[in-house]
Amino acid sequence: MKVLIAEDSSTVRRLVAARLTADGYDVIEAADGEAALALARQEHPDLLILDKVMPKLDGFEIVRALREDPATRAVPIVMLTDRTSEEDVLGGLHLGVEEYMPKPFSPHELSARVQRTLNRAGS
Amino acid sequence: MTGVLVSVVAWLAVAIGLIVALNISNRIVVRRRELQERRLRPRAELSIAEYLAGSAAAPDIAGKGERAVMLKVAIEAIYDLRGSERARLVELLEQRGFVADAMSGLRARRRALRLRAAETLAVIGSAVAVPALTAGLNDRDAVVRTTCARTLAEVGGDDVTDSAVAAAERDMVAAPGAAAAVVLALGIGRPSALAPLLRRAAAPEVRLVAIAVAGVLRLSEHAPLLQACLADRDDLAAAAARGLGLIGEVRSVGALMALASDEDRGPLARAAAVTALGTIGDLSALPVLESQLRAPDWSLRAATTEALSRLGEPGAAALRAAGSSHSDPGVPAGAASQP
Repeated sequence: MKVLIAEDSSTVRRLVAARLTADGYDVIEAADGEAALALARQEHPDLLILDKVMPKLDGFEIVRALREDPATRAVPIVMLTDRTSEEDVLGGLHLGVEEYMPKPFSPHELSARVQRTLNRAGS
Repeated sequence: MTGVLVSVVAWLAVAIGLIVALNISNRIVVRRRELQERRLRPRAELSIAEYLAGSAAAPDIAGKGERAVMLKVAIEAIYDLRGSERARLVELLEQRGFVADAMSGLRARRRALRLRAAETLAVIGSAVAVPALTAGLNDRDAVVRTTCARTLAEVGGDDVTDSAVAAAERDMVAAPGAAAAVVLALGIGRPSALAPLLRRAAAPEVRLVAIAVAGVLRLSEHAPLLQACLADRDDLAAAAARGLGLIGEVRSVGALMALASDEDRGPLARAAAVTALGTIGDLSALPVLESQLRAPDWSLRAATTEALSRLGEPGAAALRAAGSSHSDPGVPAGAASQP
């Protein structure tokens, strides 16, 4: 399974990548929104982990762009973010985000949620 | 005369030269640190991440620069982590002497170093540091003292709670933000410890913060103490009324009604009581609220209109009845918005 992590904090990105790699996932990383969108279109990951606030392109803008494109419409998305207001969570869910994981977070729990989301998506 | 002038100009030139040289050397040091961090950071991030994921052994850290970068990365990670991974990282920092370093930093002569050490210990949140943090309560700087007190409130046992409470009381005027953070930490971690800060014996400044914390955290166990605060000066009474409203304390409705209709009290406290009555939603407050629609103060009338609008149909009916005859433009507007 290929998972794309889009997160501008290199520390968080590496924490997530190390956990998912240890759990057997093939991980690709993006440090900003534009790179994330480009990688999502090129690499066709099975799941995306997205930060809400990123340079160049906001997490929600990426979700919107992916949902509008038939090639990436079905890819499951897990938001990993410290933006946890009701408005943010509802905004994400309305756009079609599968999971909303608040920071601070447990990489172990995130990995379990990734697994569950992939199971639900039938990948 | 010319000789003196030349001498002054020469000294000025030397002084400017020294300042420029100092500035350049500072920039060089900062730049070197940035380059060092850029070089060492990826390895530090990877080694911490792989250690926490269980795919690598605890990282080897050699050299001052490497330790500084490792601590910086670890602290960034701690902010974003919770659960078992966070606990493992704290354990790693303890084992590798970072907590001990920060504990000795609390004894440094320079205030900046002591403050940095206190803040590092606050982020790490290691119980190992409790004795050093307890000693830090006697620091000569108020912000260092209160930072230690906040950490003790978060990670210390019951035996250090009283010291944290005392630090909040002592430094509320000297370091209000840091002392308020102590009260908040106490409210989250040890709610019962707020009791002495809510009583009359405590200073008004610290009581005001404790009342706000008890309300925002909805600490219903403190509702009787909040109710007692309704008899205090207006700012304390207003904060207590807001807290009782947030808690939804039905048993305080009588005391809130008394405050709302007490014409000897200021509009700040009375409006807060009215708002709390609307938030609690007990219909026994309806007659008192209706009477406040005729209060001389506009802020009290506005709060009453808002409170009545929260009481469902009975409140809406009261607003409609008042709206047809009231001279205050706010009341008809409130009535018009009712179904």
